[in-house]
Amino acid sequence: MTPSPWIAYSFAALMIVTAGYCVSRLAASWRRHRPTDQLADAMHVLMGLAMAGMLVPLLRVYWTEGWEGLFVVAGASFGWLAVREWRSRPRVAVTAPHHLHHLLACGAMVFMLAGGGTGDASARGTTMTSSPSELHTLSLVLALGLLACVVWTADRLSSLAPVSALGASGRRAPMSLRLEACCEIAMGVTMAYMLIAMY
Amino acid sequence: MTSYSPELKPVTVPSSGVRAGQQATVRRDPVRLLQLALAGLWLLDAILQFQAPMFTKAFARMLDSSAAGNPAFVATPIRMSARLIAQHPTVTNAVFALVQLLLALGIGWRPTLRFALASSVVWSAAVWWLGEGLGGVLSGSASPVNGAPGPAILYALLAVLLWPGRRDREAPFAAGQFTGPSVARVLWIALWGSLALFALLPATSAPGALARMISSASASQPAWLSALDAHLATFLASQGPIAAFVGASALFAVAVGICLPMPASRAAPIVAIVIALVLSVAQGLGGILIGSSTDPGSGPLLALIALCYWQPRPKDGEAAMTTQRSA
Repeated sequence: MTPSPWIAYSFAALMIVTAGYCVSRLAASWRRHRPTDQLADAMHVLMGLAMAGMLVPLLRVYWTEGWEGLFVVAGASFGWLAVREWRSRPRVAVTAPHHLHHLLACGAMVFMLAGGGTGDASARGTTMTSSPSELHTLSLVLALGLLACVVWTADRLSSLAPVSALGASGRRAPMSLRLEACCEIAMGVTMAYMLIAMY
Repeated sequence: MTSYSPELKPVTVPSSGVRAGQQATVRRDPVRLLQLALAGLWLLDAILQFQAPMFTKAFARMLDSSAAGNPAFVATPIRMSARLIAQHPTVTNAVFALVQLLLALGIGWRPTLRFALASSVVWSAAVWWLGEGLGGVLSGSASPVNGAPGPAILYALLAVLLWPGRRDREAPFAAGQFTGPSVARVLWIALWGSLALFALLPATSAPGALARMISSASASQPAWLSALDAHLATFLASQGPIAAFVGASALFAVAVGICLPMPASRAAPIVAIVIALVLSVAQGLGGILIGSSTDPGSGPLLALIALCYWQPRPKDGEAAMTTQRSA
């Protein structure tokens, strides 16, 4: 079933705002030399634009198979970073799979783009080789994974230092970690909604 | 009795966006992990509430159908609220979805944990009445297979069991940290005992009743789930009353198992999780794969409740320390 226009516009607006904010983070980081995770911020910009286009066709940026290729490459990069993160984790502590979240998000984007976005059954039928029931299950598994990441990020939120504390030591303060976590939450919730609404 | 100590596991989280080496340390004890699982279920509920059919009058009709068979004092408020929702389906459903989203994020974000848990109890109680018709408990249609006593009341129970308790309180399982082990055991017996009772009611034990419920839940489901349910329904078509009796016995054993000495009390939550998984399959995963549901059914919630009663194996020396302390 096609998602309600009202709710699709709301989620698209959220994505545009999130993407816009991440562009401003990248710009501020470049101009003021403030540290930020540029790869994650850039990915949030691209994901925000792609998802807004899938939710509201008017906002769609046409780039035939370009989006899929982009997110496959990004997913591979985040996968590599996740492996490195895992290998370098402290022996006594459990490292939260930060880059796994991005890897999962890239996988979900490829899945949705290959499936034709929300509710486009004809596109799904022509571009995917799996049966619809397998796609139902896969979309649910991806959505549950993303929701788990959202909850994990929400739990981490209060432990992240505010910008004022990070800049107190005389070094250049990094861009707000809490707001970046909020961007991850917004992305995760919207992506999970789209995966559930697909079928 | 071995004491349940909320073991704090330091988790070093590489802060996102950090090149300068700032690290945030998050401590997650077992109770916190269970709270996060509860937040995840609320989040799933919120996402399911955002589905397109919920913004139509079909959602109000679904709520209205839960009034059937209930006494007037239960049914009248249900019909009134369903009428109100039918008049403003978009606004009311958006509010419902947002409330559930805020509850999920509130439980996930530590500063608002208590407020969100308290609010979730109030919200769940309202949904249990106005959305689920008290789970069919008073209408005689309650069955473990159709989700009785209702997912909403299980959310409320989880909020109570997972309320942040006193860290110095000794309890054999996470659920006893706030309420104390005795009250937690009474709640366990009430839940699983009532499920055993529901399994013996005609709604479950009548010939063909189980098979009908499972068949209706499997309609339009993905092939693998539909096939699984079809096999189960075929088997239960002839063995329904016996299966209901066996199920009731297993549920009763789970209920009393928590009060027995150690091996049995550790086995009770494991059996409960297995039963919850079977119920989840029988309920067609609550219909979340076919866009007809606002929650994943009672199965995942029962499994989470069972995890709250999991008793960790005592570590070497811990039992001796407990004995010394009590001496």
